[in-house]
Amino acid sequence: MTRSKDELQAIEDALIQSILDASPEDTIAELREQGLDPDACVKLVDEMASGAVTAARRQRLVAAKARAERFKAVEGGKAGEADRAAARRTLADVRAGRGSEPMMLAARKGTGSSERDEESLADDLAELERLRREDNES
Amino acid sequence: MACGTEGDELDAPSKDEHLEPEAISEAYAVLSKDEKLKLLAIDGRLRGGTSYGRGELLREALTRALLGRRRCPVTVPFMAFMIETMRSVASHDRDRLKRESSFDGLDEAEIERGVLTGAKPATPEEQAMNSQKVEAIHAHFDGDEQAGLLLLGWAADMRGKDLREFIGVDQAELDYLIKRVRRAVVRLYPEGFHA
Repeated sequence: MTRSKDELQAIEDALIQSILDASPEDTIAELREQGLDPDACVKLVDEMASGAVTAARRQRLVAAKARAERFKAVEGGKAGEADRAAARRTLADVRAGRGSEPMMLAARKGTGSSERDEESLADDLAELERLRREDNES
Repeated sequence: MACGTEGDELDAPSKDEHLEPEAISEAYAVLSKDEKLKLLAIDGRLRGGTSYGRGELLREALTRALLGRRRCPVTVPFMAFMIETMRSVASHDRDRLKRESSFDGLDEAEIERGVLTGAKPATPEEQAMNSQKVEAIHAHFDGDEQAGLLLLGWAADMRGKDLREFIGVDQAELDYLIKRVRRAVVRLYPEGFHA
């Protein structure tokens, strides 16, 4: 007779069903036959379940962080590097008197502003430009 | 016992037809000691030939269910869902191990060309091994006509009345026969047929 993989699979399926159908006494007796302590087995299953809850929680947290990062970068209006570079050029133009926007002399000179202030200003300009583009598109 | 879908493999049914992760937790929480022992016994039979240790297949199956990567239809008993998920996880892991070992014999160019992109089908050697296992099980019960008939009936997916009539026994005799054969086969292949 030709034995196929399906035949072996069918026997395994039947064995698994018979494990499910076995009485609690038979299940305990058969685990003991395999050298396993039923109480230790239940403890192991509960530990594995606890591990599953922890692993699922960790993976959900990682996924949530990734979504939050994407939101900040794309939906949250965080300007890209190209936008920031364009904003820095605009700022430099204004300071040099080439800009079309009126500006106070002190601001044009950048008196008292730190590099961080200027980066922040560039970010704000980039964000403003992004919002203008969105307004024009809508 | 078809249940559960692996993420995006199939069209996603509506949410109310499947257990939500919270319901999965609740379903596990109400399992009896007997059901937990049975899950572990089945974990032991399915994890042969995988990279999973004792109980780890069960943990992986539950993790996937809690993450919604495997979804349990509300019409499917939780135990059946867990067993089917463990079976699927084990099968994917065996395929993965097979693919990894297949790469060992390839050079970089062959791997770049994607020579192996899916699960490798059973080789003639593997098919021969499976046949030998079935023969070995039958040989173990040589001269035991009822056990031989039970194995033939199982191989033909017979259950219940069909199986009783095929072997010529009543339900009590069938129950005893199944217990006897199950214990013997578990002794013969303690870690399942894939080990």
